[in-house]
Amino acid sequence: MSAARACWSCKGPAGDAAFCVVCGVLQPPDSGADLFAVLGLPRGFDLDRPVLEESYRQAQQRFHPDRFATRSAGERRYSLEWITRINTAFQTLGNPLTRARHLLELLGHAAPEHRNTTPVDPAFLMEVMELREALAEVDPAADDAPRRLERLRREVEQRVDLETGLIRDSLARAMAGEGTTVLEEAVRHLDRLRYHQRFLEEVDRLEERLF
Amino acid sequence: MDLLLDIAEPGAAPLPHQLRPGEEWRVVGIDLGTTFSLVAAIDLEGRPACIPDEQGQVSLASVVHYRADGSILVGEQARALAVQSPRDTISSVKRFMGRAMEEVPAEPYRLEPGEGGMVRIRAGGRSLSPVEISAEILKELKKRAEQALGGALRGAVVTVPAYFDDAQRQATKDACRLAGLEVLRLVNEPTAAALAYGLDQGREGLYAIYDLGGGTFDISILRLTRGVFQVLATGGNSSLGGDDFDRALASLFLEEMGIAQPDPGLLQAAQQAAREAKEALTGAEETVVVLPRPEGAAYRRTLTRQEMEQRIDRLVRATGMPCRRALKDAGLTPADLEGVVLVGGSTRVPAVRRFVADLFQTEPLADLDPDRIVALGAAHQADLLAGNRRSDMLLVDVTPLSLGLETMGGLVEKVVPRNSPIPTARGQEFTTYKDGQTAMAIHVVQGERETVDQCRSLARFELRGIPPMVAGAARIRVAFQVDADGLLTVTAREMTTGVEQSVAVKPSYGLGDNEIAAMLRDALDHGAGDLQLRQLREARVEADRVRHAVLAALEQDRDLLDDQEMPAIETAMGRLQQVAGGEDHQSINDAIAALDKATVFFAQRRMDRNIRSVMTGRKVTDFS
Repeated sequence: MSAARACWSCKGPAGDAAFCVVCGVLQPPDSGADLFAVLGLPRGFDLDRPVLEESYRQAQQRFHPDRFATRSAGERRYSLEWITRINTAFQTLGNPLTRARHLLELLGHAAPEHRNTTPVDPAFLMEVMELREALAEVDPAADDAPRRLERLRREVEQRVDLETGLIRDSLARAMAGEGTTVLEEAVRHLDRLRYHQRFLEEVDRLEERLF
Repeated sequence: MDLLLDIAEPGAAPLPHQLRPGEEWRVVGIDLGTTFSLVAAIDLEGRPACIPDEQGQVSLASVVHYRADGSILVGEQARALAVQSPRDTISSVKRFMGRAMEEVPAEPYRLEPGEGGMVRIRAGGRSLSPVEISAEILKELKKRAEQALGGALRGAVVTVPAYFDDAQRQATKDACRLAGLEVLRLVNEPTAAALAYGLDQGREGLYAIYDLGGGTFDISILRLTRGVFQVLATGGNSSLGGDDFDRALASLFLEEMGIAQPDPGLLQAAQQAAREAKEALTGAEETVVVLPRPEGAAYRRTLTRQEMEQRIDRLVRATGMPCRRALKDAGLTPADLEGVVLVGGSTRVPAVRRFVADLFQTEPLADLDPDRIVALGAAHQADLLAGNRRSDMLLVDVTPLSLGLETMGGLVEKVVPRNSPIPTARGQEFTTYKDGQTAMAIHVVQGERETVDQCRSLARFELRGIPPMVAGAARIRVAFQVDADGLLTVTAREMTTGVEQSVAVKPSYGLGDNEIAAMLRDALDHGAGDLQLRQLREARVEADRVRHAVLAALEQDRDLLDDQEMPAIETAMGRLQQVAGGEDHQSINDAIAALDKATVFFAQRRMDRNIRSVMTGRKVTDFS
């Protein structure tokens, strides 16, 4: 946001804050701001859940449309834009996978949206296929289904932790300016993390059938 | 310059649209229930209270009677006529909101199809929409509130089941409009209840709200932190409630009477007897049921609580799955909860309480009247939205069902996952499938299943005027916006030219009735089959696209290939065509990969020739 911006309401100098310094009216959100900035968080992969939740709560308190229900149509519209960004930020940053993807974008490396973008390591592919076979073998009607699903979940969750740690490292190095090979590395681990998360989603779906 | 002269202290601008102190808005909270409805407002002490009618009754039976002379009765007077003229006396109209004819039980009404596939009901010689019938109930509540508050209402917060879909919410809002009520906000029933409960006790922490009403069941998991009521997950069944208990008991009585096809009057009488028995068995261990027969001696039997519980056991258990799923969605176990709050008259049934205590491993909380708590919370929210007082209190709700789009092969691409905080906006980019394609059909669906025909269809529209381009070059962004009422707007836009279409999703004709529940149940029953089917369909669609793309490329740039290169591609194409008709998605994918490999160099050469930047860096699989 530029400090020279004029307030849409009073036409005075609004400053670069969310609310005009002159008349106190809500300003439109800066569409260029990254999602960390939306919640007032430092840019980085490490993010404690309670910290994220507290910033989210504070942002809700300041910008939720309910706070502007009796204000002008302009402010009501901007509060809707703000809260939409805030909700997107909360959901994106709350998940390590989407958080990493957003960071990669900010680092100028468009994150892969589709499969087949990076060559997949055959050894990794074998691992994934073995896990999938094990999942396919689980019979939801069998008594041991919950136990087997739980064991598979734990196994994959360990891999998720491993990949998440590796993403954390490579992103930290990339942000310290170590260049593009580190980013490629991050993308590779991100790909693997996505495989694992998809797998966990399928475990979820199967588990719901046991409810 | 005039504008600048008005500048006041920061944050304290006396803007013309703000109200002067003391000039409070007359606003109310309305709980529009399946079996009865309530209206509440903030009283002189600043506490929410339900507004009684002239006889001192706060609950209004949600029953509307249409006389042949055109006059209309609402409430207890209407209910008294249900047995005598069952077809002209509409109860539980909430079940018909936003629904098609084949989605609702007909008995004892005369149903007919209306515009957009919505159901209509014939009563008192008129054809009525559920929206009109609901509006009669709302008008009655409005009249009552205006008398009590001494003037016209400025607006109302109206509650809906958390599990209501877009069509049901839209229908509710339309009913308010028809009744001359300005809707300040649609609020989910369990969320309103949590608000009343949390504020009453100044509580913090994680709570589950178990809301079993006359016709709907909701479960919501909330976190209460310093004024923010954040819904973490919600679930339910929009056609399960105490009415179903009554029906189960009534069918027992009719069975025992040996009547398979009761006339509408007898059916009504049996259901009323069932309701009375159910209520009696809340306190008593047994009760006597008497039903007059069309001829002969009256049917008479003693019903024990245990017998009733056996009869409704399956229904009570049906509330378990949504609860377990909501807990899981919130990433919680029962031990994480501070408590479970009971809402809705049907939670008075002892079997329900036992089931909840068992499920959540804690004694449920019911220190506020479960019939009134929703209306009280709604009144609170109305007061806050009207700006009548300053408070840190804030409700943050979520979408109950995933929203998505139909993609190739009848599959659903989820755009807004269930339990996303609202308001929310999400977008997804799509591209054209064929060269020169100028229009794209957009089909919006709601539900958890992976195939379109098993989700609820919300809207269809077409984005036209896409400039002819190579397949895959157009970038069509479909944006979903869910507002604070939970209502959806969808916009489609071609990004390179800015051609745009938008649609506010109106109730459109969709699937079979009990569907939200049934849809979810099916999703769980068919999960594995779905997955395989999905993989196969995906593979087939992909095979089709790749073949299309390669053929189109060959037609254009065949001269880039020499006589040795061409056969390799043809072999790979032939192989793909051969396996694409089969049932094994893996061999289709393998053939796609092989064709992909065989055409890499061709794609490279085409790209060098074709300076179209949109294709740079893509492989043949990305052409289409």
